[in-house]
Amino acid sequence: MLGVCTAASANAAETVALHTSFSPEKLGASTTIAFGFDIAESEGGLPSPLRSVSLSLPAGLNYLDTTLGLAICQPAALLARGLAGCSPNSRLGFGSAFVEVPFGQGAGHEIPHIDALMGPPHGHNTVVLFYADGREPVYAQIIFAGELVAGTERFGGSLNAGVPLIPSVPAGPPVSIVRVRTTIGPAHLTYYERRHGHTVAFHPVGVSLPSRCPRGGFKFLAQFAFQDTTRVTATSTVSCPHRR
Amino acid sequence: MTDVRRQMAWLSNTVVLGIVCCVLFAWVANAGGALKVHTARPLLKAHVARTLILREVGHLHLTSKRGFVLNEQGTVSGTISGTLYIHLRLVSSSRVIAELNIYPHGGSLSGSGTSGYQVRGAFANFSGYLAVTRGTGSYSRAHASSLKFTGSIQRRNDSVTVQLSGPLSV
Repeated sequence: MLGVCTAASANAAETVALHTSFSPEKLGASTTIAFGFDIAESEGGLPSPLRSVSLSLPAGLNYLDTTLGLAICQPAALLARGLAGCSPNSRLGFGSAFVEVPFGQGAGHEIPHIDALMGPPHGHNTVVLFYADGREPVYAQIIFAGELVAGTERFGGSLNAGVPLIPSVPAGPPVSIVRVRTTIGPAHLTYYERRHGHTVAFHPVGVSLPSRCPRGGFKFLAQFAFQDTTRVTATSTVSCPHRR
Repeated sequence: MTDVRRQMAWLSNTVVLGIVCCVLFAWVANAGGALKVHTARPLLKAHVARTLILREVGHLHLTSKRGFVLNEQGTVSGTISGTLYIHLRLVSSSRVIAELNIYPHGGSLSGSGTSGYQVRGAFANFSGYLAVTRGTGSYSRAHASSLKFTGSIQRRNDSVTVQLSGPLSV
């Protein structure tokens, strides 16, 4: 289920639609959080490159239950060897992105694989590494970190990520991110452990939804900052599951 | 001569009797004085506080898990030893409140505190300070204000190892 998306902009340069969902959407149970955003420019042109995202998660999500990220992926190993440099038990989720380059025919290009991995913690905060292995038009490995920061009563925590400028060509202008879809959760992830001398596969447990749905549903809020100094806030709400 | 002997004997007996009476009187007087002192001042059993330096290590297993709370039970050894119960309540993605009960021989100790919480791969670590605020039995006067409290949760099975150290007044 997609949340209702709204966007508000300080100077109407960029607009953002935020998408969020839970799968499965069952109260009190482990879930996979899916989130994504679409960025546009109000005049129809190319949006300014994205520089940071701060996604506030709903209150009540239970981080105590999850067994996601049982291994830590070191950024240096990720850069050197790609996903092979990190344990499968460090994977937190995956997704894709769509970028546009500021030259040529204006066509977009998909970065088909973005992986989310458990990074080394920063202080007491969990760090999520986002890794993209660009082929065309961006021949570059991109790694950026999001930090899960403790939240307020209204929001349960926020995932704050600085986004690096992604060069289109060497020494060329950066690309613009126009769409991102990603997940954090156990869906389609397999972990491994040694048990009685054998390697055994298992599915990790995700963050749990609270046993009661908050009034008005699960509210997400995201703040986006762009290179042209525009800041945009977007919200999304996942409705409470229907009672059976 | 006979009269003289009788008089000497009587005098001797009188002197001996007098000495005996004096000694008896003095003993009774002293005994009475001592008794008087004891009855005037009731016996006071003074409590002398002493300090134990705790260096405890505990190993616990999960007994139940509800919402944001892990309930753990295990044993503790070190300066004191006994059964240990810990309730860990996650209050944010980076903080945990710990409540602890130790049941050593002859009493119990209870305390609580807040710790930082950090997920690091297969383990979630916590570190902070806790205060011992209550005790029973031999530890009825126990208190401590800043015991160092660290530990780790094995995320795959929620077993916990804790270390507790610092001065405890008993």
